[in-house]
Amino acid sequence: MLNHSYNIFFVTFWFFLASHTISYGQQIIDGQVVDKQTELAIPGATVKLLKAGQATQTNVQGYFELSIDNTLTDTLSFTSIGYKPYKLAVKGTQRQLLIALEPDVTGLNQVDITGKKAKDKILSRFTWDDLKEVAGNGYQHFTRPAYARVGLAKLFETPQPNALLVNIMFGRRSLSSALDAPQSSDGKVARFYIHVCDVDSATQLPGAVLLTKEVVLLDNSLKITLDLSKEKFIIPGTRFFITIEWIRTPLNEIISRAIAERLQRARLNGRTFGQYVSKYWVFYRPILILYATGDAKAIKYINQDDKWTPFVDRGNELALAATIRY
Amino acid sequence: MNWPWPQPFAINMKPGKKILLLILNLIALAALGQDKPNIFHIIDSETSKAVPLVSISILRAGLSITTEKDGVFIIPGNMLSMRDTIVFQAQNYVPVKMPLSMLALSSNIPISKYKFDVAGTALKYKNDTVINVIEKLEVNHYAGVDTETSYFNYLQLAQQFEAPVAGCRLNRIRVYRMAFNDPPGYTSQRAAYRLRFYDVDPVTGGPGCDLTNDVVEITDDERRQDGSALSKYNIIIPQKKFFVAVEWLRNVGNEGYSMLYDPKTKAYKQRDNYRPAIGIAPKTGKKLNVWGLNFKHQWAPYNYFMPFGTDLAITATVEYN
Repeated sequence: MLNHSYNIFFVTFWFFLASHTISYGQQIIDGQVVDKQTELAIPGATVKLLKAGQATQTNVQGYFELSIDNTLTDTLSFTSIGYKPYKLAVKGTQRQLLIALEPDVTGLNQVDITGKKAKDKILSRFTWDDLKEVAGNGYQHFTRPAYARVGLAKLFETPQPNALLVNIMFGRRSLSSALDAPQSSDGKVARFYIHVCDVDSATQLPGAVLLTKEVVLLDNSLKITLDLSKEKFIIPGTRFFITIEWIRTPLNEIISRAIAERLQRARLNGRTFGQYVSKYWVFYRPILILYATGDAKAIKYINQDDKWTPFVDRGNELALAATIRY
Repeated sequence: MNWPWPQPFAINMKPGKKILLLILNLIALAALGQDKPNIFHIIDSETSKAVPLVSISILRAGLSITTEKDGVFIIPGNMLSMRDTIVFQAQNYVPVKMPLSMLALSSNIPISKYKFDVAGTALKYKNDTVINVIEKLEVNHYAGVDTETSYFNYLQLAQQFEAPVAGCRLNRIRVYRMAFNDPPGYTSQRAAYRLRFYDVDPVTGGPGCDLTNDVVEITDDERRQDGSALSKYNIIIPQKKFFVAVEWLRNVGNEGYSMLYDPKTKAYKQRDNYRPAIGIAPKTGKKLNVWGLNFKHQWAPYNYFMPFGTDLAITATVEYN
């Protein structure tokens, strides 16, 4: 069962070709703007093409997207109140930029805080570097697609019982990427569920669902933060699961293609002959991110047929984190 | 469209042919029980020449294929014992529907051309406009591939357009489809398909009569966008509304397959698929403009991608004065 799950989970893709047929007449520049120190998204930052005058603002995930024509010599400017402005030449930029703005502390008044403050802690923290794929100059950093037919789960442990769940963070990628380039349709929109579950005392697997949030993604953000602070959700005990549940709906469909050889039988003389044909697999968004940790014991839980199964992946961790307050 | 649905072809035959059929029937009966392949030829009832690329659907089994250019198809087994209905349909021919067991009577299936006049005189047009403009980078969904939740059992998908005025001439069609690069020598992305053009059926609001009897076929195309110049066909759109359909050729040249997980057996199974997969326009709304022709040759609204997939990724350029 472990091997079976493993094979399905890691979606054995086809490193057959390295490019898509899509030839872009237009160039799309997109990415996320984050705080350099905290790595939290900066919503409402202004992203502007200086020569073209075209501008947009980042959304709640710090995500922006600009579609540009013939402006390869232009410069992108990133500004937000409380941060130092940042400029970037458009030429040579890739999709899914990560712009880390440095806080501008000079303009802020000092505030003295007294009294006991609740402590925030990020469980199973991952960084932007973990999510980004990098190639070149002798260094390569891959991520891998994470997907399950029904669900994926990850176990978390808090330092103290009854902590407040502040947010859930996860990394999300496309099935096709610059480095491994499987051939697949693309798309930004994804609809799925995130559940918080307790730990089944008998099986130690995900148990009763304690909280459910429907998530709808409308952009290509690499890192998503789901704000749960308004839920006032207290985690009972110290151990809990966060699970992702896929929805098999046309909206989420991704069609992936491989080339396969198939034996055909001639209609009239019955002789067989080989023919290269397209072999399609249908997946459903979101595709999550597995990143290398070197931790050989990073345990995840997979649900392919309405049954949870633990497995150990060789040094790859699911980019799924939670912020708690206690 | 209200087709003049024909009687099974044997009923209208002359007495001499009926005797021949009876002999064939006896031969077929003698062959009862032998599981051999039965070869059939679909021929033009007037010329007796092969009709190319005929769509054949077996209704209850939910199967459909398209013949090659020789009009030949094969069904193995004892035809007399088969309890299903078979439908033959080709562009410009009257569809034929009959019990599958009747194929035991003859290896030739004659189908008849229907005759219609296409109105329209070649004129010079001053204006043109593109309808259903597509943002190509936003085309991410495709129709034509079987999924675990739904099999693509359609012969045609049609997109409804609305021209600025009545009496326009169709100038160009652009179809956005799913395609990837193949290495040299591979042809697994090539697709051959037909474009069909219909007016609006006043009863159903779906595709009605053909607007041309010319065969417009895209052959062995590997591109993601197929543009077709159409002014030479002089397709005149009588009303403002009209349909452009992609007709799948479900033959070996377009064949591929989907890997579909079967939760009952907990295993993946193969299911044949035929190129092309047609893009869904990135549009949302309540008005659905896509119709599908199913294996029973019935047009019905194609709502698989609703509410976000109201239109196919097909653009039309029309000329008018």
